[in-house]
Amino acid sequence: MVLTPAATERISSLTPTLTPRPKFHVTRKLVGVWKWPLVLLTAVYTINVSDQFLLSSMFPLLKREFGLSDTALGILSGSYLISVTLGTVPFGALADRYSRTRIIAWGTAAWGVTMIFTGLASGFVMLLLGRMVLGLWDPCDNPTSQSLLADYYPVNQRSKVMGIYQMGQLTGFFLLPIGGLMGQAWGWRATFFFFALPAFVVALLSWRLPEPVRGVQERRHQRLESDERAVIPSRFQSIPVVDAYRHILRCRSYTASLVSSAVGSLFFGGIGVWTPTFLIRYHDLDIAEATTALSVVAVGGLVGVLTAGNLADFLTHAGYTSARIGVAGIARLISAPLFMAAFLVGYTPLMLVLLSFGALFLVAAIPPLNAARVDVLHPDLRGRGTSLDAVTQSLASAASPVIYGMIADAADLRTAYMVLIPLAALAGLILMTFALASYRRDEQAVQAMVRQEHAEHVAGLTRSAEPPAETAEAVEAPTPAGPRAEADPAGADESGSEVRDAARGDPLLHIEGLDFSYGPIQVLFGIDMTLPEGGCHALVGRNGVGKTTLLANIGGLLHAQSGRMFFRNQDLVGIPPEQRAKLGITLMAAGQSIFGSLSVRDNLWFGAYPFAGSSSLVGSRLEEVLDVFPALGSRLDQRAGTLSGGEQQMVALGRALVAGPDLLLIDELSLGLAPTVTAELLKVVERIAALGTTILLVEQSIGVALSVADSVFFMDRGRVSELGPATALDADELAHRLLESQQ
Amino acid sequence: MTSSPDLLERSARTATRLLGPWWNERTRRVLFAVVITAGFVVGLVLGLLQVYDREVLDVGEPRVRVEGLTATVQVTVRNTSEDVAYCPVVAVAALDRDGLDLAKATAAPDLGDARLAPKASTNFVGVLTGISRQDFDEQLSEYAAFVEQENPCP
Repeated sequence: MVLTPAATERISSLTPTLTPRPKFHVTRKLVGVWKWPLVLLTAVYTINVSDQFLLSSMFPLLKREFGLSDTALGILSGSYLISVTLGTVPFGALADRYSRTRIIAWGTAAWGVTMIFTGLASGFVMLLLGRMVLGLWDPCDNPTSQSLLADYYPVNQRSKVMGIYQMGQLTGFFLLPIGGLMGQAWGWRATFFFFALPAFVVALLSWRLPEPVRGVQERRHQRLESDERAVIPSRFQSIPVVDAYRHILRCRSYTASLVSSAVGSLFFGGIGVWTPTFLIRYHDLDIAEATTALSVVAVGGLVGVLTAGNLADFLTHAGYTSARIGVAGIARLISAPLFMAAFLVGYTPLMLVLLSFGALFLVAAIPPLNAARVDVLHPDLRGRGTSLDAVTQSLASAASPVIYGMIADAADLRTAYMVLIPLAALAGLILMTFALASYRRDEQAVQAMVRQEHAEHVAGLTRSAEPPAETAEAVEAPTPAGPRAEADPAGADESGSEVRDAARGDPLLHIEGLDFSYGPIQVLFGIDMTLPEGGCHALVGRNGVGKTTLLANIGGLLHAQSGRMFFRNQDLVGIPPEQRAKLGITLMAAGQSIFGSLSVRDNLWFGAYPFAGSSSLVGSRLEEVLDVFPALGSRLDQRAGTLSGGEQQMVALGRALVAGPDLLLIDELSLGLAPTVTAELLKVVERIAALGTTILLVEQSIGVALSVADSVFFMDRGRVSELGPATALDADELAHRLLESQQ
Repeated sequence: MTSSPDLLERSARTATRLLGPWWNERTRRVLFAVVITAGFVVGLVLGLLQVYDREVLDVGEPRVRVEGLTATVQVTVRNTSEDVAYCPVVAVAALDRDGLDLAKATAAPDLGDARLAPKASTNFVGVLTGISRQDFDEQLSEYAAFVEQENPCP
């Protein structure tokens, strides 16, 4: 098979500049990141929530045993809530200062011990003491976990992560009936003892979690970090409490979200208490039916939590940079008319449907809002910021049922809902105005602060590595606290534009410290590699050194255990292969990488995956590929497995071309092919590279590599080194080096 | 700007100084392991003991008859003891959604006295009044019966 010059010229229409890049969207799954911390922290949240209402389900049993009055039971409930509120702020401060995994581990263990103590109570005083101490431990997880999650998971998946974490709260509520059943069957003491057991298990597992460095994800996001274990000092690490909160409240988008949550809580804090009564009064349900109906509504909340995080991340990737605030605000705005309609209609099934959708949108605001709140707070302030929000919401939620009651007494319950539901809309409006206007600026300010701290840290390291005479100057250099104090939001836009300017000169692909193992066998060892935009780059090395594994990692077929990879400054962590294809990365696998049982046409169609939504575009691009490889035109319906080796590689290359990739990864193009066929294919490769597609070609044949590549990388025993321009390399020397590496 | 240690930092330093040199990573780890292990074992054992430790007076499910705003609650109480007779005080109650009392009354044996011979059972009946119409419709969740005092008979 021979390609005419005209055919190779036609490739120009398939190059990336003429390829409409489809909108990128993120996967719904957390891909390529360590999921265990999220699972564990969600479990901790579940356990802590599960006991919040456990006591009230034990009231009849406690009354029976201790002869307690209703006032005494009310004191037990109230003292617990007061303790939780009192404990939240200190735990937030601790979370910003000390090891968060240890705080959760000790806090949860202490929670378990206190549950056992409560189960051993011999009277009201012991019960009261148990509940108060339990309330102090309860907030050990929420501010701490949110701060931890922000450092465990990539910035671009933060909403999704917060959504999954929020599931812990709903799961905790669902555990409540189990507590009630256990109490009925085995007594209240057994319930407290058994509820304590999982706390010890998760405490032990939390102890074993690695403590991520604060702000590591912000540094990854901006490609700043070289040593991820390095703790970078910040001025917030030891500033007085009042100054910390003053700084937090100076962040406009945070303050707006705080006010929005408080206003929203004044409405929805009373829903759980008063809606069963509403259903009884206005829909003639009995109390059991009303309670069951309310639990059905909770399913709406579950859906909201699971979908909103994904949606916010999706929109952020699609270019709506303030999507986290936008999704939260719109969700709250939409929830208001749904609730309004729900409490006005007389037809009960319709009311429940409207109520479910209202709950869906109401709860949907939580994950993106939590993520946005973390985004705009410095990594050393997140514990305190989250705890302040929790306290505000608790107080508003506690006041809410009372307000409902007062309005219901003055008018009626329906009027109470009509008066308070607009607060949900007001909460959304606050987000859509004040928070939305300042979110981007506040987020960039945090990024700028992290960047500045990093720069000072690196400068400090450089100074300390210099000769003693210069070290003296370093001692007099500003402390980390000094210059950072000027990293105010006003400078954020400027810093942001610097980053964008710098990005223009950035490489196409940048890999740092990539480690990959197949089970216990490590194949890639801290791969560092930078691929400039444009040209053809060869990666040579003997069999089994990890070339194909590296390509599979870049293509997203394999996920490295550690290290980072950026494509056009886009962090590739968590992005699955199909999304990488949409970003412009196409992998042409080694050997017979076609589907032998499918026709040539179907094989080529697979390459058009990124344009699956546009059949006309797919059709035209297939035509263009057939112009390049006219020999395939007459064999479109032939089974691809029956083609010759060279023709099969043409199908594979054609399939890669259909996508118009920015980065084409070619694994062993010459494998098993006659030299003349290889030469023809190389002409196509050269032409593709000349027209703007960057090519990374893995080759064992040094002759092939040097004949087509602009620069050469050498790989040996899982490590990559750059040898430089191909023109400066001697084929014999390279072959010698290859042979040496085999010994 | 160098910041002086705040209250949290000073507290941590004071605590570390008071605890002395033995408070290090190793001792923290050992202490944590002890807390976790002891907590789990104690919780499990106590829980299982509760499962197998039955109340000596077994209170059955309350049976309720409602007339207007008055509920008559009847319950069977069984003495599971092999050799001790009890003269219990039994109460019945109407509970709201939070488990709080809407009404409560002491129940009396429907036949004879309250003496429960070993392995014997007796029906106790209590009448609940004073529940408002609104509470009856909106708050009343369930009826409960329980032993207020076991009282071994003299």
